[in-house]
Amino acid sequence: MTKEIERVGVPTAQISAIYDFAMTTGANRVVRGSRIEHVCGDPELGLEKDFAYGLRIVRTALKALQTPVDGPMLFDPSE
Amino acid sequence: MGGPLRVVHYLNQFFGGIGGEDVANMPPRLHDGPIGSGRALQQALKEQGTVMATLICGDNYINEARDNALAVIVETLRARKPDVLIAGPAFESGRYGLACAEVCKAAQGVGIPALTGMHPDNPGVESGRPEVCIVPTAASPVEMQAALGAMVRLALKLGRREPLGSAEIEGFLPRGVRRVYLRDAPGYQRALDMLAAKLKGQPLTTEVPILIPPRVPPAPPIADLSKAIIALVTTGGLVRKGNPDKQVSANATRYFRHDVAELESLSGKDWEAYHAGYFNHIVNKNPNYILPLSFMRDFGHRGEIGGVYPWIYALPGVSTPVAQARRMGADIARELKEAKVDGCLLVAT
Repeated sequence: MTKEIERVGVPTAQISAIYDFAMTTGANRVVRGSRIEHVCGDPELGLEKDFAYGLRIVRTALKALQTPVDGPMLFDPSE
Repeated sequence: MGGPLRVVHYLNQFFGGIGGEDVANMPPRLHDGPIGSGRALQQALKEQGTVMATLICGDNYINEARDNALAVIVETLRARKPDVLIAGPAFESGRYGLACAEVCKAAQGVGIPALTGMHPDNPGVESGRPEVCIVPTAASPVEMQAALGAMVRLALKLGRREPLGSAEIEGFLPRGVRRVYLRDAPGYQRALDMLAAKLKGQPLTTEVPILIPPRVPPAPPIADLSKAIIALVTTGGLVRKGNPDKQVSANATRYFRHDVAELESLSGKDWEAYHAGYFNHIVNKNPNYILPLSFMRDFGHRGEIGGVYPWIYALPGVSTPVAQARRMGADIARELKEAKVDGCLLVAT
């Protein structure tokens, strides 16, 4: 689905905990998510840190949308 | 069922014996009985079927004026009421292959079983998925006899409305359609047999062939994020609380879109996850984990993004065949493109 949206020229960042799978299926902008059951955050961190972590993941995804890529590329929020 | 099958044959201008590129713009023409390569089809059918009529259309015409061409073809099919439509084979010819796939879809749309044949690399193969049975042929019409033989076998089954086995058994190209059926041995046994065969260097056939996914050229990046409208999509099975749309929890064939223009965040009071592929309880407390609206609003208030597209898109992305995902992705893509959305975040569980 990510690829179909990219195909029409809309840059698309796929946030996924199974990011290596997203890479092999050919998504061009892949963002490393937290866990399958809570992709954009981590409830174990407590409210404040959880929200900060989610923001960092989404910020990384927005950075991916602004980055020229020439094939599947991983964007890691921890970097 | 008794009597020979009533067959309508679809051909392009060349195989219909009318001409080459000079007549590629000809609109559909009806001919009674077999003509051109249809004579070979009639021979392959023997007494089991009769080519009662042939529809011939120019390859350019049907690809450029598709709706007009298909309207005429459908009208003819309705009038003639064949048991089955056979299109082509198109071999390696791209326009002809696309035409054959479209004609088959149109025939199936009015309840007439249809099939075609072409080389596996013909773009018509992709366009025919997942609806159309396409028999793989060689690249060149030199192999016409072999192609027609394989197509006739399948056409008789389809025309008699006999149940079809898997693509592998029936000899058509896999369409990405999954059916549930009982195997003669349980999964662990089949897996161990496969492993044993592999270790011994014996031939084995996987039950889940892995196709190397084709690449898509990357979209250009967003130049000015502060003016960009960003759409949010999730395959995490997000539904409105209580699932009033009755979305399925797996193998979805459609997505739902929801208006979030007025929302700051997704609350567990109003939204939940219905997805058979992971434990949903954490997301049910905070649905923003699979559709990050709260975070995006935060960026919006700080002027870092232009805004969030008011419609969100959701489905459960589990057990979804690739062909279905591709179709739904293409539909969402079309909507986002028309709405001039600048970028998209897709959360995949």
